[in-house]
Amino acid sequence: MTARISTIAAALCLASVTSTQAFADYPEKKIDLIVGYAAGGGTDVMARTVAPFLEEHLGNDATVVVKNMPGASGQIGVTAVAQAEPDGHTIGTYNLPGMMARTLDRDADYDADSFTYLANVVDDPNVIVTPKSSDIDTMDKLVATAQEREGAVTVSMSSLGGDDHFFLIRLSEVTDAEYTIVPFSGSAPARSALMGGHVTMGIINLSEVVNFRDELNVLGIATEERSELLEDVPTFTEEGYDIVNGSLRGFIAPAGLPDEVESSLITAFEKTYEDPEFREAMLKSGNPVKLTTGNDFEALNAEQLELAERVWETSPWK
Amino acid sequence: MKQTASEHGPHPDLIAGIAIIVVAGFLLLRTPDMPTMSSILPITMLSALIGFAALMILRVFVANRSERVKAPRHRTFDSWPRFLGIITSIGIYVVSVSLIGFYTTTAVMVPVVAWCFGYRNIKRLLLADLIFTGGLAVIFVLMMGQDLPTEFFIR
Amino acid sequence: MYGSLLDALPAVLSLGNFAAVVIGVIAGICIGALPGLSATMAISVLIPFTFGMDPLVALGMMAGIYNGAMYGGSIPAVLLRIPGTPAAVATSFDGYPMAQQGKGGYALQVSVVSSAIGGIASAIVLMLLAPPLAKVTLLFGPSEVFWVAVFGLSAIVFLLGGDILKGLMSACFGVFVSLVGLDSISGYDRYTFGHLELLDGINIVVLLVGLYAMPPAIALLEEIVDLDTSMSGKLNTVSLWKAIPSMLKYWKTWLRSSIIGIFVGILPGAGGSMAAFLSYNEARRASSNPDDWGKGEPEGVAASETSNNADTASALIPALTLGIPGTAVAAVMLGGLLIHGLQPGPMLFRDNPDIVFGFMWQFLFAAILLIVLGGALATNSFAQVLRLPRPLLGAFIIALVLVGVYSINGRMFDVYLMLGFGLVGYFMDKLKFPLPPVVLGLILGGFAEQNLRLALRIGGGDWTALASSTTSKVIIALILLVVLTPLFKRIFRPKRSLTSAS
Repeated sequence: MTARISTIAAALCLASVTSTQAFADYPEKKIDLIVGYAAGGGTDVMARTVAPFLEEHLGNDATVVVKNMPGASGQIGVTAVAQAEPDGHTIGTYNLPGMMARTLDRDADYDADSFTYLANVVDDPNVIVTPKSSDIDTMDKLVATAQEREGAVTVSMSSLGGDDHFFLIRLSEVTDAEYTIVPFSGSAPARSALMGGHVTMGIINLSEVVNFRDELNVLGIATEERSELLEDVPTFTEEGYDIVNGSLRGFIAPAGLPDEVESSLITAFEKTYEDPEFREAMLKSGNPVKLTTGNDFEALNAEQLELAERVWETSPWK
Repeated sequence: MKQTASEHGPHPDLIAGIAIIVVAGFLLLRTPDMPTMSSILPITMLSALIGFAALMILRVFVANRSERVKAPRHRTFDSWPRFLGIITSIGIYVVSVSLIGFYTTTAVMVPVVAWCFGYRNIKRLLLADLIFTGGLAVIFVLMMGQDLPTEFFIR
Repeated sequence: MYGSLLDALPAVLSLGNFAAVVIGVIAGICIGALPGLSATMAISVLIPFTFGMDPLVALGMMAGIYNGAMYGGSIPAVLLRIPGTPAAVATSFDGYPMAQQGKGGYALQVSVVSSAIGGIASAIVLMLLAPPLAKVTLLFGPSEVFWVAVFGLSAIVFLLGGDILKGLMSACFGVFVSLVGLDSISGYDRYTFGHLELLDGINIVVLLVGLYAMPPAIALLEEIVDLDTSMSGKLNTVSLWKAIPSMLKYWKTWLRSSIIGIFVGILPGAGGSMAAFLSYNEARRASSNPDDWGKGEPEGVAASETSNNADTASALIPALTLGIPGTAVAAVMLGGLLIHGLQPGPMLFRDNPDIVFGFMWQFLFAAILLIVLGGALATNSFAQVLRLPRPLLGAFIIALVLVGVYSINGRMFDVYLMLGFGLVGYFMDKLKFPLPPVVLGLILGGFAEQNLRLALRIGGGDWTALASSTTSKVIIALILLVVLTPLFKRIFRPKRSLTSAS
């Protein structure tokens, strides 16, 4: 508690020291929060849940308007943010590793330096699942099956070049086995194909498994410590496979944001994260939260980009 | 058959056939870059289109000589100028929607187009315009808060 | 579970929640009836707006819009030959000829009654059988879905129209359009020419509006007589309640089409247009006078409209239980659930029974309300629209189409694309290339391809894996039965019946 107050206090101090006239004035008009997906998706729900808290904690009668710019798995929206005026009145959602992977597999009009990294809010780790009817219900059995014959294990996942794909490539390295990728379009079809027993295993995210606990075996979770949403599921590290991976969702602004604006936004995100109401709303929408802000977020992004580059070099997915 | 109107000039199927072959051929040029599995269906479809278009062209020539093969001529345009006029006004409409804004353009263009193409009752025209554009504005702006291309004067 | 069904009822009947359904149905009928505006677009525009609402109010409105729009789409399909929604394409086959014969009012009455029956059947199935039917959905993996798509594509044979060559070219064009965009299996962008907007493929509404709404709009301005609105403006209706007894003879079609619609709804990703095409075909096959179809047979309208409403609620079965929507509209509605923190899955039924079962009741009420509201509101008042001066009507349609297409993703790119299709559609229309094969090709082409390739991957490249499961074998047998029977019939049919038919 005291630690939290002191962080906030420190952040406030920092903000008030560095702030000049600009800080007092920000925001001058409505803030557009650009979401690269259609209304109702996971990222959209996160943005809409965050928006009212952000308004409250930014003060100055701030209004945050969520604007959906769907298309090209988020690329259209994030490109729009990268090219917007860096005055803090346009911010956007950001997904990892997807947004960095797009700079490798497509001609993207942005790169890692196009953004001011504000806050990563959601960290949705990967899990391996098998159908309830399957006799492969532990990692050891899975790895044994995979090593027996190359490509014998079919893996349903949501897309190529996403977190689940990177996870699979790490798994392939760590377990020294080849898997057959079956890329569906979206995680729900991938999960359904798995539940119907049409594939051997599936890689999905924690948030997509919590509502299906009774229908699926969860073999492991790619976090450092066990998740409070799935207490009884061991981490891969516990089981002897050193993989930590997941899908990250956060917020960014165009590069070159004035320092005062940046720090007031980051402070607002920090306060939002500490808000118990916010925690409850995120839990309700099945989003595992974990806050990473500013420079730490930028470092996280660099790390994800490096992983993506490594994968792209060894096994390009297109 | 009442096809006397456009018996002169090349058969429309001939022009359509050539256009299809050219476009499909151009699109076919892009298939070698694709991974094999991705290219199978596009190649099949485009080749089929080219094949069918060739048959259609052939049919036109055979039909000229034989009574049994039919290649009916369908009337393409009632009048060229009108068609071009319509296409141009649609073009102007769409471009100015993105430049000037949706409501302004619609309010201006709907009566102008309707007047140009034959409805000359100005009073009713303006009333209909008001109801239509106003109705859209009420639904999209007031009720749904949906953004259509923004008006130039409030940007 | 049936207990919680009853527990959910009082909340649904509360004034606010019930009013939401009523408003939804009325709005849905209007949206469906306006060419260019579709249910998918309306619900996606509505979703962000519902964020702050009570879940049942929001969901009731969506249930109403969905049901209303599925019927509303038939109004312009019958009166103008412009399907208001993708699923109304098959309705225009017989509906428009009926309107030209001065029976447009009766066509709309058949349509509204059939729509309501399909919707009611579907809602009841959703309420009573959702969990067991979700198990049926799970039986359908990529190979099984592939065969279903093939089954759907076999319907193309009957849609080719008089000129088979042109029909085939239309179908190839439709399939080709379905291939544009990111190939999710190889990760390669096919025919996007560097446009990010094309990566997700071409939205069916963009194509449909371009092909079906633009040519008549141009024709209205061009003043060609073949789009005759003077006849269809006169509906010659008797009251709906007097007309219903004469429709009871369609009960077989209602039953068959309801089953087809519900079945297509629970399949992952197939959708209402496929349901309408399939059931139109099956109804025609079963009919004693198949030659009258396409010339104004009311049973054709009944078949198409029953099934496109019968897959509304059933499309929510896989959406609610598995998170995989059965139709494009259900996909958008899933977003509407998510925005209220309602995550699909078995837990949804346990954690939020009031909302889930309430939502199902709302579907039932929306379907019932359709008869009352649709019958009273639509049959005559929409026909008034057709009395508008032709140039004005043409200009209105073009403006509406622009709004509808722009609002899907909020960008002008789709509008330009739609205009391109409009030009193609204009010439296709003039040169008598049939349009239905394009729509069917677009719906099923890429869908079949993707599932075939996924199935081959799962089977390790082994083609026999496609027919390995029992479900696959059953569907293959069904396809053979349906495709080969008419061939045999034709071969063995005595000559005289052929001559008497013509």
